[in-house]
Amino acid sequence: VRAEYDPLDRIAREPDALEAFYRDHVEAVQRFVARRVSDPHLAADLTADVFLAAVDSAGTYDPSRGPVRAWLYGVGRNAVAAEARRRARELRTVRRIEGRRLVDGAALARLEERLDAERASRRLHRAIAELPEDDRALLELVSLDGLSIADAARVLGVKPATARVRLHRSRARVTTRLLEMGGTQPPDRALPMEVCP
Amino acid sequence: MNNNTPLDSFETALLAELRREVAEHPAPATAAVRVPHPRRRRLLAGGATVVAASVVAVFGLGAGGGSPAYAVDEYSAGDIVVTIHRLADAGGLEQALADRGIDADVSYDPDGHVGQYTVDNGDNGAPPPAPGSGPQAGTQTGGEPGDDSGPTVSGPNGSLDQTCGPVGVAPATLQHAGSDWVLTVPEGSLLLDRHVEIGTDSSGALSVRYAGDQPGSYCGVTTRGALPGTDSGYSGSTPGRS
Repeated sequence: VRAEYDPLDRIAREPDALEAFYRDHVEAVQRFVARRVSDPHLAADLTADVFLAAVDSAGTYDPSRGPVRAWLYGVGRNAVAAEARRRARELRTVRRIEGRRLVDGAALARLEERLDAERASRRLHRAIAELPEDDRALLELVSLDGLSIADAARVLGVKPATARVRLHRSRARVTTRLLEMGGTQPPDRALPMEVCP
Repeated sequence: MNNNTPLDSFETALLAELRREVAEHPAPATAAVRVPHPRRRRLLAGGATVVAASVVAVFGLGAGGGSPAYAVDEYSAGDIVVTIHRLADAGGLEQALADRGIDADVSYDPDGHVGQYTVDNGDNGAPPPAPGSGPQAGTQTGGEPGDDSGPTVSGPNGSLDQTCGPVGVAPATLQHAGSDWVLTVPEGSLLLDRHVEIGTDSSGALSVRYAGDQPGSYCGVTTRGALPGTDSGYSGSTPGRS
């Protein structure tokens, strides 16, 4: 954790600490969101949601359980899932911060650029979506978001050995699904042949 | 991105909004758990009327009276936050949870038995410390030192299994905050649809369990003992499997 926001719960009290945290992670959060949704305005909303959720739960961060980035991705998964549940119930969310209202022309172009760059990742995300939820969460964090297996296991509260078994099991299923979806082999980083801690 | 990378107009505007949010609603410096500000998430049904943020709270005093044993707060966004101050008035807490749609058995049995299950923590009968008696309260479970695995909850012949439903969507969080335990059940949680058992084990760790996706299985979360406020995790078990 950088000194500017160590301990992390300072981001919930000190605007300057929050700004340092935000500047360090805003690009990663936007890419995280872009790997999951294709609409730029929803992406802007979710980016705001993820940072608000991080502020709300900053007191739960435990440095011994992994890096801030891994923790933030765990928070991000919950925020994205909460939005999906609300949409499934056709509930309209009024946000404390409406990210889409902050988007102007130039920023919209940049959001769309980022979404284009993550097109292949969203395809992988769709293939992963058909896995059982616990396998899916793990493969998402490792293959889609680039966390180490150890860090992803900590985020999800499972043993690294269990995580390795799940990843091994998931890989063949997702590869098959991607081929069914009409694509070529997934990128190397997406589905590692060798699952190492 | 590092601190020197320029922000675009959206990123700059979002930063300004976030700074304002933290400045206007700073978390208390001493709180290990920040309860979401009720105005953070407001739901608009049909686009007509904003549901006013509100908190409905219930307090339990326990048999001996005095300070409340627990508090159950329900936020207008649908989150239910249970704060356990003392291990007392289990029946009152059961009723308060039932009033909010959570079918729970609450038992603070000091011998470590809660229903037919015990918490498998490798502890052999240490007296139960009061919650919040320091970093030693709660239980470190899991594998070898340094493994940092999540807590495990086991049945009589418990073995880990993937039976808990969505892992990425936490059905609840259980945290040790100061002298209290705080259970947060988010809107739409699985816990609203399952039978839930809340209880302590022989070391004083608090666990919350619910029926798993497979018949006879259960899942749960238990406090970890390293630090007050330490987050907890989920695991599942199918009792009787061998």
